[in-house]
Amino acid sequence: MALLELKDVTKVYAEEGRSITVLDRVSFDVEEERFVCLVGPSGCGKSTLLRMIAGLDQPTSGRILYEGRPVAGVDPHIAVVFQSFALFPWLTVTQNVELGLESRGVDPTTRRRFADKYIDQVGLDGFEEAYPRELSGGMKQRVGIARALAVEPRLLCMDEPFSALDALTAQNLREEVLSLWEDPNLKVSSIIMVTHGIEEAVFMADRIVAFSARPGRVISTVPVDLPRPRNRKDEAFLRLTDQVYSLIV
Amino acid sequence: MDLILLPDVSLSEVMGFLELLEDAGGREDVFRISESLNLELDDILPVIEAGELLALLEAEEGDVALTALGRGFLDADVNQRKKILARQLAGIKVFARVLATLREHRNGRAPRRLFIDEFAERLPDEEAARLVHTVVDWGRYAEIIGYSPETEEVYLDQG
Amino acid sequence: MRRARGQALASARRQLMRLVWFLLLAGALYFIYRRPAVIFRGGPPGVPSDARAIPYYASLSLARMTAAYVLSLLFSIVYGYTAWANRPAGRFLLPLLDVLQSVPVLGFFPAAVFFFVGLFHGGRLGLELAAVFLIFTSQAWNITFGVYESLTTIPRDLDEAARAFGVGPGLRFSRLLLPAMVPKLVYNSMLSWAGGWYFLIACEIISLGPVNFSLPGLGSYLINTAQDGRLGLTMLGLAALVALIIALDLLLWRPLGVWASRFKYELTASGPAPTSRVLTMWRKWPVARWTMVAGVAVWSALRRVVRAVLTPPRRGLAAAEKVADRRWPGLLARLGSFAARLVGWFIVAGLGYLVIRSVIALGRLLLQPMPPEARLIPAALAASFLRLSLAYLISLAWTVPAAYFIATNERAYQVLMPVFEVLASVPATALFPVIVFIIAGRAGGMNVAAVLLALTGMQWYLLFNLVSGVRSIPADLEEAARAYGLKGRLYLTRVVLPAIFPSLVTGSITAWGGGWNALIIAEYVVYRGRTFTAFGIGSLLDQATYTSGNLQMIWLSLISMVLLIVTLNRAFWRPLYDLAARRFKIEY
Repeated sequence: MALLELKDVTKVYAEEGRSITVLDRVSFDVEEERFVCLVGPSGCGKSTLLRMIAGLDQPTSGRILYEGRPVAGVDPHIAVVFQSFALFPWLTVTQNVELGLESRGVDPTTRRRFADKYIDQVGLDGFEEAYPRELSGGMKQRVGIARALAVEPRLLCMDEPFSALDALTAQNLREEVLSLWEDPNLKVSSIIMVTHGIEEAVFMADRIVAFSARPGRVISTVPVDLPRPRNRKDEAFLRLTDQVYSLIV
Repeated sequence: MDLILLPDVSLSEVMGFLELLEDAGGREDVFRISESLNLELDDILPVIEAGELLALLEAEEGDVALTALGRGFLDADVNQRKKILARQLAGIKVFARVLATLREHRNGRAPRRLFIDEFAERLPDEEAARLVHTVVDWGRYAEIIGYSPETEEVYLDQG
Repeated sequence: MRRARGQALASARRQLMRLVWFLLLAGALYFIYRRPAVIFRGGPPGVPSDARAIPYYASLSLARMTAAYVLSLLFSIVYGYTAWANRPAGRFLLPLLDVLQSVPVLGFFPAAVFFFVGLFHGGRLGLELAAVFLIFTSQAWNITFGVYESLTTIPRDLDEAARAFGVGPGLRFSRLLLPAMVPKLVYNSMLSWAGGWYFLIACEIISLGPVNFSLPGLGSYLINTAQDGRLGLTMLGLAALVALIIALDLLLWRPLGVWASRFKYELTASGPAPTSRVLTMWRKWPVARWTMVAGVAVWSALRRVVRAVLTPPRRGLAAAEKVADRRWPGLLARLGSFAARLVGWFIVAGLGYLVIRSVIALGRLLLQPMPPEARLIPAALAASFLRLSLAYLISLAWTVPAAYFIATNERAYQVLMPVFEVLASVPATALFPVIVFIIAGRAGGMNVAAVLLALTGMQWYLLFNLVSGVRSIPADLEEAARAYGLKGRLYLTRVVLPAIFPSLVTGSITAWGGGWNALIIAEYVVYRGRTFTAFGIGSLLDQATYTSGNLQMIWLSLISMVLLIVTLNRAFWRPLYDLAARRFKIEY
């Protein structure tokens, strides 16, 4: 059984008497231990889809199944990393990371232990008592990632996590996310990442789900079998990037 | 006091640059790297400067290349990287100076204002504040310097 | 180190400046109060209280408001411009504005009455001027700060470009400075106008109450009808007042606000531009268009006349300068700068003399043996403070949940906000006659009335600030809270309360400012010839002013009240405000 199954997921927004179809009968599966990237032009509904997977929104029709059961509301096994980081400015790094655990009623000592562990894993040691305002963009997104990991999800949803960062920082974080995901000790099984960067998708994913412009439909799913660590200068890498480009454009 | 200004970049940027350089085979023309990233030279030069300061890369005749330390750094995991950075930072004058000042203070703590005022004797106010910010940012990542936003104090991070 | 010392010096200089201005003001008021108090000649008794009189009274009230506002507007532009354009002058003018703003306006109403009524030997005109002056003092500072602030935000290169293209002073003002001022000018005018009603009604009531003057207007109508026990008429008057306020808001201020929003320097396109049906109507209405055309014609004619008058002398002066320059190079310039310096020194010396006189006068006054009532001041301050705290706590208790509900519930927002806006538009002072009618004379009634009045003066500031605070919580933070399962108490303490903290502080500061003013009329009421008081600093001040006429007590009460307000602001609100800005502000 796949970790996540999407069956004919459709989303229609009603707006001023008109109804706008954002997503049209989207179906695909995410197996265990996969890194899936959703790519497509802006406005194709890929972020909406991710929000529905995370239980923050409901499809108009169709089904989203996590381990065979329908996703109804926020699921404790699914965590989200946001494009804008979405950190609480009045909470320290540790408090931000502990937030998900706190809402699950985990006791303070355990909470602290978990937070410390994931703060350490993303390289945020030394910033525990910092407030988000003091951090550079890269460090902020590390907090966002640690906050997601701290609830030990099996499925990690990332919504354009690097698009608010400069090119160099983004590259650094891509590598760190990959090495985290490859870490056998980590509880995360699969990652779904929304991106508009095709090169980024080829760099990170096992599988790319390509969307058409609105209404978003799945054009094609492309397996990426390049060996890791990947190199953007490789012949095969460039060829695959080209191929995905031609699918979308 | 003789100061070397730290380039105003984050360590994440430096690490990202090293990783891209590795992809390019460990040596590349600066112009081509900035072109492939759509970055202005003004954005990338401070990053290279920072990499040189940390002896992780060297630049000559328009090329940048990873040093042996740089390669070792890339192969290391997060915590090993922090150790390397801690060693390198301790050798940079500004850091040596800040660390020495902190050791002179009781508990190894001193107000951030003190450093800004100290640097401001040689630098415009704004740059002095930025320098302290960068020192704290790098120092925190390398876990040699801590900063408490509540008391606005810089302190020695003894792990 | 050197820099730190420089900063300390600058801040010390600012403080000194504030002190000097405060002393000057105090001195001026002192001399005003020393005028012989022959002015208490009873004014015309009883004002007819008939429903048909309402339009007449309303027009009188509106005329006072308009006069005060026009005065404020002119003052603000001139003062704000001078403070911005003339740096040395700005160093004097800004601290003065600071002092003026932190003074509870109503406390100085008696002083204004003394002064103006004395000036006109007890005539009605003096009283009118006193009222206009009081409303002016409640409106002007806020608008002036707005003018000054918007001038400082003019991009330097824009101003330089204007100069580089040889734009003359007139054109520079109408094309660069005025447009830059417009958004804040209009916005702050709306606030000041709304606040002005409060003071207008207040002085119409005060003048009819304790002192034997009458200032016919809606305020006096309200208190008169309430005194006669004709509450139906009071309500009618109140309705007329509210209708007037709302009509002006809809027909004048809203369209003006929409018009002004076009002048904002926008860096990012943010949503559709606001629209106003009334503004379009104004534009389409032929009379409006003709008025505008006529206005432009008059304006340009006026300008031509002014220019015609001014040009020859200016040209002559320039020619003379040229000749002088050729004959005695530099001499004229040196003479000019010498004269300017002389004038400057003269002004400084004059001010210094006034400061010294003020200090001596005040010192002499305060060094006289204390009147026995002076011992009551600390207790009075405490009583007033408690009263305000109570009103504040009540306001908090209902506005926080209400604001949260309104702001998170779109339906409620659509329905309830207009209702609250109408309720809030009723000047708290206008409710006073009604409140007094209901509770005056009962045991402890005055205490309840005073708290109620303070409440009506405080709660709206809190409510509106809080609503906008809740609504400004960014969508992604709410989404993150949802994604990580934050609910109930945790959601409240980790998300909502911290997010609204800055608007809570801002709202509280404004609310307390309004509260102190409210107390001055709330603690001392003359009703059907009887005096009702609630013991507090406000009643102490009023008693000293209206019954005992004890100059020392007036001063002691005023000074201690201002000191308490300033101390509270410095020691309590300022740190909270800084904390809010440092930690709780959401930046995007």
